[in-house]
Amino acid sequence: MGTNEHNNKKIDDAINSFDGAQKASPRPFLFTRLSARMYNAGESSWEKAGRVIARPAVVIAGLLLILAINAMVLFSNNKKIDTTDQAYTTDAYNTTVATLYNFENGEQ
Amino acid sequence: MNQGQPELIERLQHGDESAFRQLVDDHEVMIYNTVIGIVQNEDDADDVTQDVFIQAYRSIRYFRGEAKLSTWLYRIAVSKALDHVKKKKRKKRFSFLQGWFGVVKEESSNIPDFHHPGIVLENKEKASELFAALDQLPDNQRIAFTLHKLEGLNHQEIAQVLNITLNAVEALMGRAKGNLKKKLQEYYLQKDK
Repeated sequence: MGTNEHNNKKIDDAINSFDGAQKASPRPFLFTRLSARMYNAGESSWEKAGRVIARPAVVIAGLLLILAINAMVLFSNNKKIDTTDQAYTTDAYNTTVATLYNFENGEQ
Repeated sequence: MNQGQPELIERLQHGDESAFRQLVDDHEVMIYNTVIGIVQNEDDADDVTQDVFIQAYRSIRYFRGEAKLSTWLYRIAVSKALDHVKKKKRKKRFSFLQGWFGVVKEESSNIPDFHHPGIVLENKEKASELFAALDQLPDNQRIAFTLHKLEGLNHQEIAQVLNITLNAVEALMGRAKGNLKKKLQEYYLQKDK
């Protein structure tokens, strides 16, 4: 019970801790700093582009895109190799059949 | 200040630089104090305060005078401060990714460590704990509480800033206090372990 009362008092003290607070003031010469910032507000297109490219989200998206393209290229290359093997086998078979035919119907 | 406001607004809308200077001088404390209560960092508050005045400069031509100039500025301040807080929290969430690209990570901590420059000395530690609890509240409760306790706005003025009813503000304040007590209780129990 004692701890509860103690904590309740701490909570009430915290809730009321803003009482009597003075308003915070900004650092001196705010208008000067503000004017300088507004005067220098212009940004070149290169700087804007650089700022966009440097964002982590853009970098990650770019890396994923490159990985996806690599995967697509690898996959399509594997498919071509299989087709070539099949064509080679078929050609070999045709040659063999042709040879047999010529042998059976060969010169008499 | 209120009597000359229509004239000031007209001069601002015509791009009068001295009018803009007057706007900044008249409202810089109000804006900075509001912003620092939300972003809880002096350097960030300075940047966001500048953002507020830049936004005001760009948008003043759309100001129709339906609300007071101060109410309009408070709205911009609250919006910019909340945007800044959200951006910082997003950066924190993705900080592990930033590490991959060699970006130096800022140290982040949930321990109360913000000291508002205007809080009296004997209340500084308690206020720091309250700010840490405030940081965990939903935005609307946090804003209502900050505007009332730090800026000294009454409920009617808060209703105008947030563009909600007086009853809604009172409900927000009730929920804010309830949630703050809960968060502080959890914190003190954790601290005592």
